[in-house]
Amino acid sequence: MNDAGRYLVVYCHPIPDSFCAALRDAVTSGLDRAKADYDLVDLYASGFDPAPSADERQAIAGPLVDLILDHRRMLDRASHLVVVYPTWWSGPPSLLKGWVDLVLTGEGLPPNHPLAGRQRRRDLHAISVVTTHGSGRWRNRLQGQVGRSIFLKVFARNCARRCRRSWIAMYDLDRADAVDRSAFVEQVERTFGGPGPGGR
Amino acid sequence: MHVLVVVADPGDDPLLAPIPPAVLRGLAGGGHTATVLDLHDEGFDPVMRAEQRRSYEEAGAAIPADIAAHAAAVTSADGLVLVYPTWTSSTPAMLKGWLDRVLVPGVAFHLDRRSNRVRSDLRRIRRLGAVTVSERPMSRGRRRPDTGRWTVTRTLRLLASWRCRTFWLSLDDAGNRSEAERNLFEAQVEVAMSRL
Repeated sequence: MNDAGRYLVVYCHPIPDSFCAALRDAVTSGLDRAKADYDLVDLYASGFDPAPSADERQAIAGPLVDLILDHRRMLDRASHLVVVYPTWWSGPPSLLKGWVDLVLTGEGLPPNHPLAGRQRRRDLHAISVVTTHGSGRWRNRLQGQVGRSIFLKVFARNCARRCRRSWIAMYDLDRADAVDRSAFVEQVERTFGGPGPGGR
Repeated sequence: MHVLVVVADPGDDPLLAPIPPAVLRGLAGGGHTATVLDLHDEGFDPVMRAEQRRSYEEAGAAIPADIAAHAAAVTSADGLVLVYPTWTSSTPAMLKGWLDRVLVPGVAFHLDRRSNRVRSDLRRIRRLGAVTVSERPMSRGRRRPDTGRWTVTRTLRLLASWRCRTFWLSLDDAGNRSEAERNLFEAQVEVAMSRL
């Protein structure tokens, strides 16, 4: 999966030694092995506020605006977006959902805000979602696959015309053992570490 | 019927402002009682922190003080109505955070020890739905999926009573609607709530 261009890896999990953290490390070590350049955003460590109050939403300067601009600059440089998160209630955690609304699409800001309005990302050529589900694949289908829809359908429409979309998901984590988990970590590392099984 | 109304309105959106009063008028008109949780108003923290997440799977773990009242409200409701602005085709972070932090084991469900599968504790809910306002035009087939709708009528529906009825009231392309159209939507909301 490594081709020319820079990656932006966005990671969102509250616990530093979680399984998602292992998946983030698998992504970055794969990219290191492939000698790809990347930026890494740890949303919990960044102190990002996903649901600003009316006053913070209206402000046209301040910490929220600085953070949005900073993250959008990283997006400008990237040709490949990777998000790593645990699936809760069929979708991304609230912190990541707020990041999507404020940084990726700008819909979480008032319509008259200078940073609102449609964010076109025609230079973003690939989106990869790496996520875990406590329950099974079919339960997630019944629930409506909210996370997949947000990243790979709604947001992907703003990206390059032939944007490559990868859904790299582990299901049934509640019933998985150590072997299943390490197999998935290896799969993720292989995927980002170069052409290999599951790479394309 | 006792209905819990959860409002995720940042408070500066003139298109959304008349909706919560219309919902409450309708519920009162239909003879229902209502509890309102205005998340922005009460300064709800929508982010699941490490401490709460660590105790997530421990049976009998203490429920954080700031969500105890929310947990009591959701377990004693016969109906659940969500009011929010649609952003990126789905629920805003404030409402998603309410789901993440309040609908936890011991409140909304428990894990069956034998099968390790989720068993709902919200089967009391017989009416479930959302009233939302979207700046974007209506979804056209596959082009713009109704993701927020699936969160309510599919993800949450799986937790509710087997015979639960769902509804979805959305004002799309709200910024370009005339005042008459917005008033019509308000009236529709009121009627739907009174017939809940």
